[in-house]
This record gives sequence, structure tokens and C-alpha cells, in this order.
Amino acid sequence: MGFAERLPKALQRRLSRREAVLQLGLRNLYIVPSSFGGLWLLGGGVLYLVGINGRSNGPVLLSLLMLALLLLNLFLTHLNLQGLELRALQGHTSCADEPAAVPLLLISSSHRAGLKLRWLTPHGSLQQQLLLHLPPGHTPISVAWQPSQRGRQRPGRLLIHSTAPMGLFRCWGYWEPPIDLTIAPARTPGPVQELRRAEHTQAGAVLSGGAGSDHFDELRPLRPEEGLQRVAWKTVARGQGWYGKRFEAEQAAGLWLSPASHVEPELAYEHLCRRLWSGLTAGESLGLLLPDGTAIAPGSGPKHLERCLQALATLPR
Amino acid sequence: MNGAPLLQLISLALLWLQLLLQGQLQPLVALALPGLLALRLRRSTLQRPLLLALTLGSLVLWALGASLGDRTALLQSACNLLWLLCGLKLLEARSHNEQRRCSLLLLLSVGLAGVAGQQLAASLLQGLCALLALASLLALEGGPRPLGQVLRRSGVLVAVALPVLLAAFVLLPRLEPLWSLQLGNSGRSGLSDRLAPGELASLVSDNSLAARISFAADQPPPAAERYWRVLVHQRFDGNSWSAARTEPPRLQLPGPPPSAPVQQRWMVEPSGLRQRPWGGSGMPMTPSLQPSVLGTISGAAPLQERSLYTLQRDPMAEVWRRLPPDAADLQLPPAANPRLLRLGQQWQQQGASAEAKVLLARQWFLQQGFRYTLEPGSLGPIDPLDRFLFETRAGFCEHFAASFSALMRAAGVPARVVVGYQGGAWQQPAGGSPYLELRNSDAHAWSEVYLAGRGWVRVDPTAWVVPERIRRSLADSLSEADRQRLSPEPPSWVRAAVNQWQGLDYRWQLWVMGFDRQRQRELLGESRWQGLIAISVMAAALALGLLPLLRQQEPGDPMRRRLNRLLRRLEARGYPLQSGETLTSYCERVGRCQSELAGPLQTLALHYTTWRFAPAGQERDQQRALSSSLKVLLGLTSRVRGRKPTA
Repeated sequence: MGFAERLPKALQRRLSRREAVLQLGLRNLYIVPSSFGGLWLLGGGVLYLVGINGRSNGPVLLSLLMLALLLLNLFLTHLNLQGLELRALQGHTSCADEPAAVPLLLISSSHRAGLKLRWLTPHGSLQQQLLLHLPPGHTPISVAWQPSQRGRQRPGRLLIHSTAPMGLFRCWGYWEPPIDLTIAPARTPGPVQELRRAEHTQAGAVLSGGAGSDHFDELRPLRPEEGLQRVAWKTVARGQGWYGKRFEAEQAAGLWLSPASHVEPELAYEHLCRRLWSGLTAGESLGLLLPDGTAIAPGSGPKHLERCLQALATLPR
Repeated sequence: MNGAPLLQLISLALLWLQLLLQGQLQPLVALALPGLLALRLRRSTLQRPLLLALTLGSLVLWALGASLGDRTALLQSACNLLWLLCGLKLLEARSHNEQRRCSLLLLLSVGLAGVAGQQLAASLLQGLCALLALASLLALEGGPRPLGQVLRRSGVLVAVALPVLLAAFVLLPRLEPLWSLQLGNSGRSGLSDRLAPGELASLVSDNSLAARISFAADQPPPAAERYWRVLVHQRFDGNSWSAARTEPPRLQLPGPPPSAPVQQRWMVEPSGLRQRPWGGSGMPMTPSLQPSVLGTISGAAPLQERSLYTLQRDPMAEVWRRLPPDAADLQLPPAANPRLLRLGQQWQQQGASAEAKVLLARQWFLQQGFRYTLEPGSLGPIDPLDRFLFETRAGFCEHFAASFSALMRAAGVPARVVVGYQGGAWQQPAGGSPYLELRNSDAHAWSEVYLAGRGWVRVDPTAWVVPERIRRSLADSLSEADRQRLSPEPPSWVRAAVNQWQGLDYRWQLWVMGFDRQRQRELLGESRWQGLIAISVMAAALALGLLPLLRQQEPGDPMRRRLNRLLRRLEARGYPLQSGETLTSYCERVGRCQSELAGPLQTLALHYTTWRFAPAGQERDQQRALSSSLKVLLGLTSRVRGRKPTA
């Protein structure tokens, strides 16, 4: 890496703030004329010369107005960011094959136009830019960050910049929020080892829950194929309708998933992640059995999915 | 279409209109721009090759037009090219950056239009175009907003920048022109360096503005003294009078001290002449304008654009009147106009003085029954002055001046013809300084004779024949038939409105367009600290403009800040907000102690709550209601005296 590439990165490191809450102000905002600002100044100069040599004050007035607006924009562009407060929020687990939505809270006392937020990555991959026109008050936002691998990761440096109101100056600040994102493996279709309960117990895992217990866990509307032994007679007797009992043991009786043994481990985790994601979002009951001994009993729902993805994300390499 | 492209489109359309009215557009550009605007309005997305072909085609046509046209108007062609390119850029611009550059190109186009059109109306249109171009930049950066809001914001931004602009305009030291750049239409006053009988009579139907003069004491000279000389004709070929072939030598005068009082301020429309009108006295403050030995002042180049100059009081400037005549002032073709020659020689043989010969001539003119008319008829190419003096006896001012000067020369009195303006209308615009307005229809010719001991003296034979021409106006001195040839007078209210507008325009020209280095020196004097003062004042103006914007950055919304102000005011009067107290209960508590505030406080509590929880889209109405109740209470609390609450 040459000096020309190292210098901006070193500057960014030096200028970044690492607080959990960042208030943009004079000490952490930087401003330079934009390329359009340079053109603007050149255009104003040309108009001034035209006015002076054409003995006409019309172009002179316009060029001085352009100069006055340039000076004014130096402050207005800075004020557009100054005073803005940024706070990091807790995010959800996401997969490595899609941009993670990093939740932030922006607190502003006034309208702020044309705010642009983008994560800067050390490997230089292009991150999606978010353009905002911020109303006063508290505004939760999420800035997309493209992870490169699974694991617990920090998105790095956030660049917040603006050229509003007229694009003549570029004002920016850096922030390294102390957010740890959980990134599950990318979702790649492929083989996954599927285990039934018997196979799983043979594998030595410990299962919780009492199969065949009389203590049901929940009631749900009775389906005709479930038979009379599942009917919750007490609710029928109370005249509350026909409900069927659902037992914990029954819930645990879903499919267990494990990485395919003949596939390279990281790729196997990606296949597993894909199977898990598609199955759980389709309403299947799935459990997870991982090489480090982690076992998550079959279940369904967003919380279960989150738990499984976190387990996959934090697997040792 | 919305936002920035629409604003750019309207801006360019207005610019096109202004340039069209000014006659600045070449036919191709005048036709092409509306076409390009229409294409943009229809959101036609031209393919790049087609756009390129359109651009190249336009450039070729423009180059063809420029090469076939007047070479001296090359600069104007270049401006037309820029305006055309602006239209093409508008059609091409799609991305954010391209649209920004399009706005900048629009501003440059407006600036160039400002060189050509400096009248108030043109300047207002140009200002509007520039405002729309600025608004388009705000629309680009500020996200989706209603156009009205964008325009309001750009108006506020310009208003904030205005003090800085004014400080820079007035105080920043002006540069002298580095080269000459002329875009204006080359005007023609109708006056020329050759005066043939009948030439000035054709000018009376031209009612266009020639010059405007303001006087130090806001008082014009008496009507009989309003003679404004432009050209002096010394040569007579028997048929017409003309100026000398060579430029008359300039008077080398030291010039008045800078502190000498200003006598007159002239604003002259483009005439195409090097000579500038003046009253024959006063010294021009512009160094390039100097009186000549003939009593004319002329600039370095023909006047192609509106010009402003100031005359300072200086008795030395009238030295040209005392310069003795030379042989050219007595030159007369020996064979032309024999009857005129005989009459002049007859007066010479009487052995009278020059003054007596002038009196003889006056008597003769009054006795011959001359008629003043705009249609004297053709005098023919041979001995025209003889025909006028002894046959037709009907003529306009140039007939009288030309024949009287020739008669004086024949009588041995040095004489010459002066062409310029006579009279003028005294305009008093509401709230502004009055000025004398000269129109091309005020063009006039008179004579000057050299009298020993007195120098060059003005003699106006037209005034002998028709005194009303000088005392009142041209229209009053003409017959009913001749009056028909004059421009029809508009209704009085139209005339009054036009006069007011022209008064505004005059002030605009005088104080804004005419504010040059010389005016800056007049206003500020010579100071070596001028640059520093300019920068300091600009910085102060910038700070002043930014102050309200900085206040907006204070925490809390504006309504909350106003509420806090009210609460502080009530606290100072002994009603502090207690811990955990809601606004509603606080208002009730204070209302119980201050009965005159009870109603407004109750309304405030209601409005504040309603505004805070207003559904989307209704915030503005609720905010307005809250604002008015806050205003009422802030007004009341400024008057209510503090009263301790009862326990």
C-alpha cells in the first residue's frame, strides 16, 4: 500500500471518535470546498472580470452574490451537521451474504437536509450510502453495512457527511460506534445433515422436556385429525370451545440439523445457515447440533431463529 | 417534472424572454431555445448519439451564423453560444452533478445577459432568473420539498447574503477594466457629423431617451438656457455643414480639485458618437473626457453603451469660449448660394460691428415671414440655402442655423453651427431626485458667432422666428398639421406611470449600475485602509446574517423555546414550575393567582398538548394556534406586574 493510500486511512483513524454517543461539533467536524465549490468560485471570478471589463455592474453584483453565498455556505454546511447527536442501538443478527442494518438513533434540534451516512471498510469494499433529510427530534435509522465474514464484528468507521444547502462545501465527521454485530454465515444452498430424535440421542446430546407428559404446554384450536385424546375437555366443559393440547415433548420432536461432515466446515455452516433460515421462515420446527457441542432443541419463530443464527455466528473457526 | 429541473427550465425561459425583448438573441438561438425547453418539459429522453448530433448541429449552425454576421459582434455571438449550450445542458443533465453544473451555467448566462441589458426591468428579470437558478441548487440538496418552500428558502438565503453583497459592492476596491468588452446594441442618436437641411426634422418623431441630467441643487436651468451641445460644425460646402476632418485639439486644463462641487451628473444613452452632450461649462471628472477647443467633450471611443459622467464646477472649463477664431470659421464656398453671399456682403459693407450685424440679421429674419415647419420640402442640391432664405422661407431649426451661420460668414463674422439638444422635460419621480430628461426629439441646431471681447456667443435664429420652441416645447411651436407627425402622446396616467418607472430606472442606473471606481472615490474618498475596512464590514455583515441561523441551532424546537421564555418570565414573577408539574396543572395554578392570565393560560395548555400530539399533516395549523396563544401571553406577561401567589 503506497503512501497516498495510507495517508487518508491514517487520517481517518486519527480523526475518528470512538464514543458510544457522538455529538457532532467543532472538534470532530471537518470542512473543505467541494469540486463544485471550486467551479462556483471560478465562475464568480469570470463574471467579475466580465462585469469589470464590460463596465456593467450586473455581472459584478452576481459575482459578489456568489461570493457572499460561498462564504455563507461555509457556515451553513457546517451548521447542517453541527449539534447532531448519534447513538448506537442494539441490532439483530444478520447473515454474511446480505448488508446488515446497523441501527442508530439520530437526535436533532432542527431540520437537517442532505445527510449522507456510509460505513468505511478497511478492505475498501463499497458500502451503501444512506441519504437522509432529518426532521427535528429523535429519528431511528439503520445504515447498511456489508460484512465480509461471519462472527462478532464491529462495522468500523461511519462517515457522516453533507454538502447541503448548495453543494459548495463538503463537511464530514467520522465515528466508530462501539457496536458488536453478530453476523451469521452466508446462506449458501448445499447439503445439511438432518437428524431425527433417535439419531440425535444416540449422538449423545442432552434433550430437555418430558415426552408423553400429561402436562401440556399450550392449547390451540383443535384440528379434526388430532383425535379425542388431545381434546382439552376442561375448556369444552366450560363452554370455551374445542381446543387441542400441545405438549413440550411434541415440540421438541422436530428436525435436528447439523453441518454436513464431508464438506469444508465454513461452507458446511453456510449450507446449514441457509437450511435453517429457509426452514424456520417457512414455519418448520428445527433444532441445531453443532460441532462444539452446542445443541439447540428444535423450535420455531423469530426468537428461535435469532438464537440459532447467533450460535452459528459465534462458532469457533 | 418537479424540483430542480423545473426551476432551471423556468429560469432559462425567463432569460430567453428577457434577451428576446432586448434584441440580444441571434435568430438561431431565439428559435432553438424554446424548442429545447419544450423537449425538456416533455421529459423527452434523447439518446446520447441523438443529443450529440443535436449539439453538433446547433454548433455548426451557430458558427455559420456567426461567420456570416457582423464580425464586430463576435462577442455577442459567443454569448449566444453560451445561452444555446445552457439549453442543451438542461436537456442533457440527468445526474445530480450534471444538474448542479447546469445551475452554474445558468448563473453565468444570466451574468452575461447583465452586460447587455442594464435597465431596471432587464435587471429585475435577470435577478429572478438567478434566484430560480439558486433555488434549483437548494432543491437538489434539500430533498423533496414543495416548490414554494424551496423558493422561500432561496429568498431567505439571498436576503441573508445581501448585507455581505452590499458591503462588498460598495467597499471592495474596484479594478479598472483590463480590456474593452462591449455587448450592448450600438445605439444611434440621429445626430451625425454632417448636417444637411431636413436631417433634424426627421428626428422629432423619435421619442426615445437620449440623456438624463441631475443637477446639484435639484433645480434645472431656465428654459431659455437649456442648450446641450454635442457637435460643432465648422466646415460648409455650400450645401451642408460638417465637422472638421481631424479631431479638434483638446484643451490642456489642470482640472478642478477633487473637492470642487459637483455641478451636473449625466447619464447618456448609446449614441454611436464619440462626443458627449454637455452644457458647455463644468469639467468632466472622468479623465478620458476632456473639453476640446471647439467646446465639445469627447471620449476615446464611440458611445455604444449607457454612460455616466459627472461635471464639476470649474470656471476654467469655459476657456474654449474665449479662444479666437481661425480661418476655418470664415470659410465659405465663393460660388454657392450667391444671393446669401450678396446679403451678407451688404451687411459687411455697412461697416457695422459684429453685434450690429447679428442685430441686422435678426431684423431681417423677423421681417421675411419665415415659417417653422417639420415639412419644409426639398430644397434641391443647388444653392439650397438661397432657396430657403429667398423662396420657400419654411424650415426647421437646422435651416435657420445653417443659413444664419453662412450669412454671418458672408458678413465677415466668424460663425459655426452647433448641434445638440434643446429643452428637456423636468421629471420629479415620487421619493426620488428630480432630473431633466432629454429625448431624441429634443435634437436642435443653433449658431455660434465670435464677438470681439465676448468670445463665442450662442445665437439661435429659430428662437427669433418661433420663441415658443425655446420657451415651451416643440409641440407648442408647430402647426396642427406638423403636430400630427410627432409621436402620439399617451394618456396622462400612462405617462405618469412611465415617468415613475423611468425615475426608478434612473436611480437604479445612477446608484447601482453607474457605481464605478469614480463614484466609489466620491463616496468613500481615498483610503489606504479601504480593503481592510471592506473585509471587516463584510465579516460583520456575515455574522449579522448568521445570527438568526445560529439561534435556530439552539436545542429544542422554536415553540419549545418560546414556551421556555414564557416560563422564565412567569418564574421571575414568582411562579416557578414545580417538580413533576405538568403544563396543564401549572397553567391552572398560575391562572388561579393571576385571573387576567387564566383564560390565555388555559388556551395555551390546550394548544400545546394538541400541537404535540397532532396527527401528521395537521401540525402546521396547530402550531399556528399555539404560536398565537404564546404571542398573546408573552405580550400580557410583559405588562403584568409580579404578584406573589397566595399560600
